[in-house]
Amino acid sequence: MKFDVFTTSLTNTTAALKELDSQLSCDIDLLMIYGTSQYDWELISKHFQSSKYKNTKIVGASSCMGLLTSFQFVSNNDHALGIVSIKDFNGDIGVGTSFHSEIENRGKFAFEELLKDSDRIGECPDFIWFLSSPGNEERTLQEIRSYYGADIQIFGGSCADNTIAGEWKLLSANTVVSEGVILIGFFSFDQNIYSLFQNGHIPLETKAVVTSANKREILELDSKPALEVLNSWRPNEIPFKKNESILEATTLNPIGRERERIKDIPFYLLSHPSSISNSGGIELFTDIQVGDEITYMAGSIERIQARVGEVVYTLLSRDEIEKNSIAGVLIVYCAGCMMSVKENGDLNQISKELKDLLGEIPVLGIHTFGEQGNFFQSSESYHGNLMLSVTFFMRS
Amino acid sequence: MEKAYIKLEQLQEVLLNLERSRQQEKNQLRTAKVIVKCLEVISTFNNNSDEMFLNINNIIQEVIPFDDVYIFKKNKHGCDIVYSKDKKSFKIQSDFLQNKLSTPRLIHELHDFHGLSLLSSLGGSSLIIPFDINEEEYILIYFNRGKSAFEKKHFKIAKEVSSIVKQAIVNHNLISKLVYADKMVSIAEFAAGIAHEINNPLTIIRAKNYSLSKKNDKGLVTKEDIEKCTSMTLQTVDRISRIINGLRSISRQVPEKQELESLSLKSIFDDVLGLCSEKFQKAHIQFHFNQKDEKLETSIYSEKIQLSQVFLNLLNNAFDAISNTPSPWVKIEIKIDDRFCLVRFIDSGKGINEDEALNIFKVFYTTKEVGEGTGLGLSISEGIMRKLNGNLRYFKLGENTCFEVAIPLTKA
Repeated sequence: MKFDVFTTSLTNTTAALKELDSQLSCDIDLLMIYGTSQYDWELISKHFQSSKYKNTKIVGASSCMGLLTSFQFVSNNDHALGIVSIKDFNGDIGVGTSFHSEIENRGKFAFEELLKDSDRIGECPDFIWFLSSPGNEERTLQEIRSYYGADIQIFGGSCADNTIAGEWKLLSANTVVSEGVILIGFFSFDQNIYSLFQNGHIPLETKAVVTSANKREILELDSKPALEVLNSWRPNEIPFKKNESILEATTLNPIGRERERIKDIPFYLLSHPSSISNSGGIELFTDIQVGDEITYMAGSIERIQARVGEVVYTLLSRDEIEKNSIAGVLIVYCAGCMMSVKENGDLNQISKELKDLLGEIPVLGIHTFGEQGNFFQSSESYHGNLMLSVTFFMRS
Repeated sequence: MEKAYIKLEQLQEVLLNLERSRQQEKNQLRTAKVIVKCLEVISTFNNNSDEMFLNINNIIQEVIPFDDVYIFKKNKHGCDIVYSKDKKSFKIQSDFLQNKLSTPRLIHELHDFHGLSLLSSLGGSSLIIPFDINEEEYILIYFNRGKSAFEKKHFKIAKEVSSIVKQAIVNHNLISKLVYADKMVSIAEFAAGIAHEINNPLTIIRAKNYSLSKKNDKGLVTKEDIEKCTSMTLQTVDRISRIINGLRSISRQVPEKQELESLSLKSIFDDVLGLCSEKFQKAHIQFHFNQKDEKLETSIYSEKIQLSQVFLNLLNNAFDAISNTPSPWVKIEIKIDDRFCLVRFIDSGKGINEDEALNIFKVFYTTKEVGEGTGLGLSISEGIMRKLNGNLRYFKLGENTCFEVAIPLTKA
C-alpha cells in the first residue's frame, strides 16, 4: 500500500487545489481531503469530480484552524488544505454516506452503503474511518455496532470549523454538506491497521453521579444543581455563571467517565463542558446518561502537548511495530487541545516529536470537535472530547 | 504531584502491556496446543480420512466455535467437496469462487452473503479460508448458525489452523496413494498366477483348433467335433474374460468420495478368486471354499473395490505364511449374525503369538522377510474395514491362523 500526505497553506482555493493536484498521481484508491472550513468546498468537490479521479473514492471533512504534520503545524491565517492519498490497498475499500436530516438510521444507512460500495455485504470492515458532523455521534456509532453485533474498530473525528459557528463541512464524491456521516470501511486480510485512542488528562479524586440530564446537558449531580457542584470542585477559581461559555476554562479540567477497565487499569472517556445553560446545566459535546459517574479530570499544556508523541511511542512499542513497515499515519487531535497548545504551548514541538519518532513516514493530523475510537480491540467504539487517536496504516 | 501522576500513568501503560502480552501468550499457547494435538492425529497413520478430519475438527472446535466445517477443492467448473462434517454438500456459485472466495473472509450474516446457496438460506456466520496445495486451490469453510458468532480472534486462529487442515489433506492424498500402491503390490503378487490362468486356456484353445484343422485336412471333421471345439473355446474365452474383468475391477483407483452400496458377497469372491486360485493351485495349497454356499448370496452394504482389496491382502498373507509348509491349506468360512456378515480366512499356519497380535495392525509392522512385505497390508485393510463401517480382527481359533472380516449387512 502506498500512503501519501500532501498539504498546502495557500489561502486561495483554486491555487491550493492546483498545488495539491500537481502532486497526485492517477489510479488512487482513496483520497481523504481535510482542510479548514474557509475554503470553497463546492469548488473542491467539483475539482475532484474530474476524470482523473473517476476510479477514486473521495471523502473529506473540515479541520479546525490547521493541520498537523511531522514537519509543522500547517496553518496560514487559519487556512490549511491537505490530502491523504491511498493507493494499491491490498483488499477492498468502501465508502458509505448518510446526509439525511433525520438522525435516526444515519449510521445504519451509511454502513449499508459502505458494504454495497465495497461489495462486502454480510461482512464487517476490519477498520472504519469515521467522519461526522458534531452532534449525534454516539447514536451513529451504536447503529453501526448493532448492525451485525460484531466488534468493529471505528476511529475518526467530527468535522470542525474555526469558531464553532456551524460552518464545518463533510465532502463525498459529489456533495458538500454540514450534517451527516461518512464511513470508510477497510477490508483486508493482510493489510494491518493499528490504532490507539487515549487522552492526556489524569483523574482526580473528585467524583459525582449524574442524577438528571438531557442528552448533552448535565442538569444535576448527586441531586444538586450541576453548576453548584462544578463550582465546588474549583474553589479557588472565579465561579462559572449561567449562560457563560466555559469551553476554554475546562480544556484542562474536563469531566471523565470510566468506560473500560483491564485488571485495575481504568480508561477514561472525556467530555468537554462547553457552556453553562440558561437553567444552570453543564452543556457538553458528548451525550451523558443519568447514572453515569463522572470524575473531575486534570491536564496541563505540557501534558497535552507531549501526549501526541507519547501515544505514537506507545503504539510503536505496544505492537512492536517496525517503523519501515508503516505506510502512513493519521492523527486525530482534539481542536480544544490544539487551541490550548497553540495559545500557550508550541504546536511545532509536536511536529518535531513526530519527526523524531516517525522520520519520513507521511503523517496527517486533524483537529476535530469530537473524537471516536476504541480503547482496545474488543472494547466498544466511543465518542469523546479532548481525546487523541493515532492510526498506523501498514504497508502489508 | 504532576510527576507522580506521570509515573503512575507510565506504570499503568507498562501493566497494560504486560496484561496484553499475557493474554496474547495465553491465546497463542492455546492455539499452539491445538496445533500440536492436530499434528499428533495427522502423524498417526490412518487411512480413514473422514476419521482423521473428524478428530482434527473436534480439536479445532476447542478454539473456533463452529457447528459445521466444509473443505472444497476448486476444479475447472466449480468445486468438489473434499470433507463435510455433517455429510451435507452445498453449491457454491462459480462467480463467487473467483471473486469472493480468493481471500480469507469473516462473514457475519450469511443471509446477506449470497453465493453459498445452502448456507445463505440457513443464515448464521462463516469463516472462509482459501489455501493452495501444489497449485490446487482449496477452500475451508467454518459455519455457525448464530449471527456474528465468529470474532476476529477466531478468524486469526482459523488462518493459523488452516495449515493443519492443509497438512491433513496432504496426508490424506499421500495415504490414498499408499493404499493404491499396496493394492497394486497385492495384485502383482498374483500376476504370475494370472498369466498362467490366461496362458493355460489359450494353449488349450490353440491345441484344439490345431487338431481340428489337421482333421479337416484329412476330411475327417464331424459336426460333433466342431460343436465340441466351439463350446470349449467359448467357455474358455468366458473364463479369461472373467479373470480380466476381475483384475480391472480390483485395480481401479477408488474415487475420492466412494459410495457404499448393496452387494452380494459372491460378486466380491468371483473377482478375488479369479485372480488368486491358480496361484494357490500351483503351490499345491488346498483351497476349501464352498462356492455354492447360500450365504454367498447375502446382501452386504459395502464398497466393492476396497472390500476386494482386503480379501486379496488376507489371501496374499495366508499364501506367504504357508506356501513352504507341509500340507498347506486355506479355508474360507462365512457366518451371518444380526448385523454383520462375518468372513473368516483360516490357514494352516500356527497362529500368531500374543506379542505379534498386538502389533500386526500397526503400520510398517511385518513378520515377513526383509523385502517381502510392505508392512502396510494389514494396517490398510483394518483402516478400510473401519471406513466401511465394519471391522477386521485377528481371531484366535484353535491352533491355526484366522482373520475375521465383519461386513455390515444391508438393512432390510
